[in-house]
Amino acid sequence: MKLGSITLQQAGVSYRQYARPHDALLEWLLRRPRHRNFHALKGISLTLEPGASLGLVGDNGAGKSTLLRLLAGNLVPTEGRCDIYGHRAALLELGSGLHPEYTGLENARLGLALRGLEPAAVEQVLPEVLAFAGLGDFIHRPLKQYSSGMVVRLGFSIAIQANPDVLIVDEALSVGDQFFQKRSLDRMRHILNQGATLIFCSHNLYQVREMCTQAVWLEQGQIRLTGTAQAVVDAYQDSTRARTADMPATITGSPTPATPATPQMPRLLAVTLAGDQQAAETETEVSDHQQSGLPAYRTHAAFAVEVTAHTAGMALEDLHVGIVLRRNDDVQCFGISTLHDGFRLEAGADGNARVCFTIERLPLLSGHYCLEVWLIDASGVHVYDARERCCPFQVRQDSQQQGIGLCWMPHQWQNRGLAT
Amino acid sequence: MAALLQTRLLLALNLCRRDLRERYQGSMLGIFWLLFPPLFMLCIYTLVFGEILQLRFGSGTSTREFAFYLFAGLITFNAFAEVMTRSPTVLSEKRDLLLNTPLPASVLPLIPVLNSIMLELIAVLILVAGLILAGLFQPSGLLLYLPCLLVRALLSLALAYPLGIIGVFLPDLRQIMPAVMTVLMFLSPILYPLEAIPDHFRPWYAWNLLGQLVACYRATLLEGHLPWETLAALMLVALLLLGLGLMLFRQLIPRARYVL
Repeated sequence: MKLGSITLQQAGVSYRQYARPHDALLEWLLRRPRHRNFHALKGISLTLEPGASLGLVGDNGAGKSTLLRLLAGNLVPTEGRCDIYGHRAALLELGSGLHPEYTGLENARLGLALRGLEPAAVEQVLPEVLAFAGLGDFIHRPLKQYSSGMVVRLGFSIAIQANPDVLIVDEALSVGDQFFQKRSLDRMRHILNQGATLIFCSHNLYQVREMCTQAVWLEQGQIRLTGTAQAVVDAYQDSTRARTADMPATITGSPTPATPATPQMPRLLAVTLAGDQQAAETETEVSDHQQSGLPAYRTHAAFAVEVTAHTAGMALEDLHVGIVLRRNDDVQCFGISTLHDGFRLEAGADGNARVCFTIERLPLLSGHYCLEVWLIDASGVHVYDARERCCPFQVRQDSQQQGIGLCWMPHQWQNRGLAT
Repeated sequence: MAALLQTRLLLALNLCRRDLRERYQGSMLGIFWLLFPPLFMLCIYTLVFGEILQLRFGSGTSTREFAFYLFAGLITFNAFAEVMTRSPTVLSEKRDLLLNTPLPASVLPLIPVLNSIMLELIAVLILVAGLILAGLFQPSGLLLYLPCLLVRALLSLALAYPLGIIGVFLPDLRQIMPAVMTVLMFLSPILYPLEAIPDHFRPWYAWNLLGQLVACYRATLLEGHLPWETLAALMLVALLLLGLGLMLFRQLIPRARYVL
């Protein structure tokens, strides 16, 4: 087998739950079961080649953490097989494997020793770990004084050392600040590019889509769907939305008692692009090839977005729609809401509010854009629902339409200083 | 195999060093607190049993010699007690490492044992310093003492494994152990000489492993001779118990993971 390959065959993990600790001892002595079985994972089959990147999505309690711990080697499968070849590095839940009383430096030394590094090797990679964690003087203080972001930085820096063949990262990473998140994602991509296998779990579905080529959707300890990251994440997102929509107002009728029922809240039902669209031109650049098929607008064409929201009986003055146009390099081009414009939504007979946002002459210049749509309350702070990076579209300038940058600015040229 | 054992021992040493530092971190006198309680008890016992009750060990006639015998006995007992009281909690204390890192569980009971060796060596240094000052020091005794230390460490490790694993299932053990150790202290010839025991109790005392161990410590450190028959027997018992203890530990550790 090649280093970094992962094979799971019908792997499952069941925890035994004992009412009291000594029941476990009595069970062993009396040979009579005194536990309840809790199946955290069952029938998981997976094959990953070295260099693959797998994203994990699923609700809380779906078994993601258990699967990660299984892959990290901290758990043994109670059924089936779990074969992993090569050196693995795992960043699991926040602060796990770190000791609150020890200083950051001691934790780093211990962590590296626990990962099988010889004392000499530990001292060799230690500066690198400390540099990546970037904790400054805090490295000499006990871990219990750290903020959660600092704990994650240290944990991640330790985990990625010693060139892993398999890198396992839990969503703990999302605690770090933006700067560190970017650095750690870059580092993960670097390790991935060197041929390592990545298993990545995050509630940030965008990150999963960006980092991983494949994905697994876990539901109640079983695989619901595997496939390309794009397809799985989309399916998962659709299902979450559908579930919110189907959620009955009363808790008694809840289809899955395991998941707590969320009360009926206003939510977005649909966001569609309208206006003066044109068929996408065939792109010549290779890099754009996956983007073809997007709705395209010409600069100065009419642009419109139609948003349908379910009001859920909420007073209409407490319901507002915000729209942000974002370029694909994350520049916010323009954002505005009905709240700030003082526009009042009206609901139809079906309890849905349909509102159309129109820009008569779209000033955006060539580029790829997407929308962010927010459903917010009258304070502008509470977000009922949001769609981020939805409705991607592109804008093309006519050939006679020159100008570079983000948007078209009305302007004039005048000659000055000429004798008339 | 040897390499694996070596890395595990290194790991245990690493954990043990941190453990000691953590326990006394922030206290002004630091490591001094490790030595203060035993030395304080030594003074009390010497006063009560040596000076007031006039108990004597071996051929010694003075209270000063009584104090040395007492100290040698207390060194054995304290090191042993350290392991006995600490091992029931060691797995739950290091729960996070055990569940979330590839740390082999069998390393953990080594922590209290290595700790006890550290404490014992410091105490022995003090004893030797006292003996030198009193002009009673026997250099060969120090060398002969090393096998005793080994047997003591193995014997406590043999008990640390079962105590450690059972402590997971019975958290009450950590409350019970100090009481058990107090009983054991008074049932062993530590504060009083074996000769003070009425004859019909003597056969029972032969079964007291701690008492036998104390006798070995005293014979080597204070009298400069090695009761090798006793020590060899103790070694055999220790190895046997260690095998059984490890077996129990291995058998129960998967269950412990469910409970931790």
